[in-house]
Amino acid sequence: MNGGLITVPTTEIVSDLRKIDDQLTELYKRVAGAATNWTMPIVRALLLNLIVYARSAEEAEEAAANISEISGTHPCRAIIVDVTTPQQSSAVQSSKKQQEGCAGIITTVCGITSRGDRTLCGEIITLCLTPRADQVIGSVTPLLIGDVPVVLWIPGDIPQDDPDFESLFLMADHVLLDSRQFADLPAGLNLIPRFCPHEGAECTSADLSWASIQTWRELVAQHFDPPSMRHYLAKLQRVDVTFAGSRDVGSHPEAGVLHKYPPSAPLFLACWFMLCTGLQPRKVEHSDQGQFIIHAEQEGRSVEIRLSPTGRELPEGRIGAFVVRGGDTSDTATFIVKSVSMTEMVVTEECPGVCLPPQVLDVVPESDAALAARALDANRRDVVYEDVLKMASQVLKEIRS
Amino acid sequence: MVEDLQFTNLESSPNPLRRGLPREKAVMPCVFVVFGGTGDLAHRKLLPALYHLYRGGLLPRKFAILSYASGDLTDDQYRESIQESIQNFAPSMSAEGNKWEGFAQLLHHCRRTSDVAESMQRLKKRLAEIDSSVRAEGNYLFYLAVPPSAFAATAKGLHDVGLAQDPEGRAWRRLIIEKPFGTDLQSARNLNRELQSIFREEQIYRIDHYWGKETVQNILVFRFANEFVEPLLNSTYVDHIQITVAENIGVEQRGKFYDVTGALRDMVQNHLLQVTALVCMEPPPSLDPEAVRDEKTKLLRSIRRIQPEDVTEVTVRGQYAPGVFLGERVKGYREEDDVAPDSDVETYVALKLNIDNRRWHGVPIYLRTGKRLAKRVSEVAVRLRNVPQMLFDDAQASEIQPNVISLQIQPDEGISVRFQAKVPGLTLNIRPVRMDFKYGAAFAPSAPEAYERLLLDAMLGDTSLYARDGFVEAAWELVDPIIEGWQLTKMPAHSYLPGSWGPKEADDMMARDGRRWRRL
Repeated sequence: MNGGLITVPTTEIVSDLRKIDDQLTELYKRVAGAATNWTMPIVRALLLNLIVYARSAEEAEEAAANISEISGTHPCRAIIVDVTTPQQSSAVQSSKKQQEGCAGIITTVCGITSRGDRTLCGEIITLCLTPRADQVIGSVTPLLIGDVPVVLWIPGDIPQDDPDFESLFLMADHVLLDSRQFADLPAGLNLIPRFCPHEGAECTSADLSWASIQTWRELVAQHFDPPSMRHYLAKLQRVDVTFAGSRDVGSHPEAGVLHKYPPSAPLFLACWFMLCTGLQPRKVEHSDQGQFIIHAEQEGRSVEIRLSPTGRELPEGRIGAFVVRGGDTSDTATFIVKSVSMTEMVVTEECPGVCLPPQVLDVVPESDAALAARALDANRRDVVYEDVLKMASQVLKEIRS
Repeated sequence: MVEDLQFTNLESSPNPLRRGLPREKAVMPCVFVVFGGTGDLAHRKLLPALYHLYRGGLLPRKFAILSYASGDLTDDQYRESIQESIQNFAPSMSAEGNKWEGFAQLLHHCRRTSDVAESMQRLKKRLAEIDSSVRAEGNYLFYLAVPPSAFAATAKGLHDVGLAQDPEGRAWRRLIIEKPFGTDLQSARNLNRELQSIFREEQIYRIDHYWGKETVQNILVFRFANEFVEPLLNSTYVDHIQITVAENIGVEQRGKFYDVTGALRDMVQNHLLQVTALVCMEPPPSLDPEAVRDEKTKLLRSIRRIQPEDVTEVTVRGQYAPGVFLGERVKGYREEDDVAPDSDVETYVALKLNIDNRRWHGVPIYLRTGKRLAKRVSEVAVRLRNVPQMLFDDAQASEIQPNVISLQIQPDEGISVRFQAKVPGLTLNIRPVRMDFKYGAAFAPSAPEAYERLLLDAMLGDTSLYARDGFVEAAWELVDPIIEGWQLTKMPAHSYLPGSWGPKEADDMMARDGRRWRRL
């Protein structure tokens, strides 16, 4: 992936899905032909089936871009089930989909491995389907590569009462979803547990919102790696999480539009911290300033966890800072992790005695594709996420009530 | 999860915030002290590995590196020298910009003079200053990148100034030493005794970079995470095993060391026996470091000792002659720098081992290693027995080759299986085919460098990939009688041409058993 993606003109319309393998073979020949000056071997590596269920032209196009990015590290056969009608599609997609007899669009995506010794290629098949369950199942199933995992990526809201989606879901070993995109967060979170309905369920799910807070969890955890800092966790005073508010409509000068619910990433971060430190949420307040205050208890003491929108220049819903204050009156310390830009974070300790100076850390901005790639690598049940999900649902229920 | 939090012993419990993170264990604040910090190993391997770990965010924020060596350098001069080394030896990492500046601030240097006691006192003082500035909490890792002859004296020096143990018993102190761990059983025992008089065994990390290689570690996964492999690995199905660690280079700048060491001590005593242990050991009850090390040691103790009088039958010594390698004229071993012109030291060795346990009874393990061989390749090949019932006529049967499972360790890491397939057509023709798995074709990210993994493990306190005293001694117990036998029988080192697969006598040894070496 270090070497980046290689672009060669390798997109074709397929009119007969039964001949798709032949056409793919031809396409790869063209890749090889175009690659005569490349110095490394080209490998068609299909390590998984990645089905994207797109319900808008934007979703389909974004999916194709994400898969191209993922292919550098996770070469796969991606099948984009684009159930938009030609009328709904963007100009480019629409022109292709409207072509006489378009059954699918095939594209090869190649990336150079980090060692730079191979070019790994995968493929994207965008199906030109109209929404109809028998067509979806009948078109997707034969195209799946046998004996490798099937991952179903849901870019937006989880579909309900949708037979197309249900048929795909039944085939999946792993589901990728993104609760940051849910239009109705409480309803969406309540649907997630169905992907892992019981202990030992084979299908696992991964939430890109949860994946997006991994760096935050790591940096917060680092504050408490030295055993001498752990006692502050047992004497928490207050936790502050700030996040970028919406800028679409401003009803608050600082925060932008007031959120009905906190965005999923800061909510997950707060819930994760509460779970790890034994904080039990008791009550949630929603202030006029757009702030959410979770009143929690730790060993009989009350602790406030504040989720506050800010007007900082970060994408909507993104976490701005996580601040933990702990200790007692004679020994109080504050631990701060703060995002100062898309590529820099600062960690600070304010504690009695000698404290380390603030440290600026470079971070790589994480695209959806990078988060998805990380979720694909983990590919196992995440019990911490499941616990966080339960607590987040509980907090949202409190807000709603 | 909530119930797991123990408020009463938070300091001794794992960090509760790490649960579910990719790194469930983190390196504690510490100072990494490199004895020989201006030397080749530190510049080529250790510091680049630490820099890579730093870039990956794997080092703690409260961390420092202190070089202890004879050079009279300021901290800034030392930083510049390391920057230059990273540019030369690890050019894929940028040694400029924010990342480098951050790392450079971790680097310090303390000069060693001829007055060892005074130098050690200075080291102690410097360490205390650095510790208080980075709040390392008294955790120190001492890496002895110095000649083996200095191990015991350095350990004693650390003891004399009170650095070997934390006086309060709260912080950890660890010692890493590089192979070779002794030159024979007696010297290995002496070294172990000397080190253990100062450090407890769990504080001693005997490093062999070979163990840090991803594919070596993957042998465990391949064997124990796949149900189809383990049932085959026994005398019912396996005819023999071949383990090859071949290099296509000569002794390069190591003539002085090599001429008193030889291939048996340099490679077999550690690398090849370690791989043998991983391939042949019983499944450990858990991945706990001690459980894995127990099984490896047990396996070595099950290998039948080669009696001195048997060496001519089951061992071969070789030495590369001058010749042409891929069109280039190359020196013979005796012409190499710092090598005696009449040297009889072996640059190639082949062995036949037998394991006296139920699983491997009657299955020979053939080892070979050498310099200036045809290719740089390391491989474990498990050759299965011939199919017992022949369905095919003689002509067809003669085409049937036994199955081979091969684990390629380097350079092109992977696993392949050789099996028989019918050639398409109207007649029944059979051909062997290979089913290949290549890491590079399946996983785009490259594996970490061996030193990165090993240094990180040492800082985490994970000893799995480090050799224990018992393992080292058991390895010498196998090697010593071979050396004794070679001396007793005056066994010569047979000459072989550069670019070949070793002396003809090694082929003869296999031929006596009706077998042959794999052509790699």
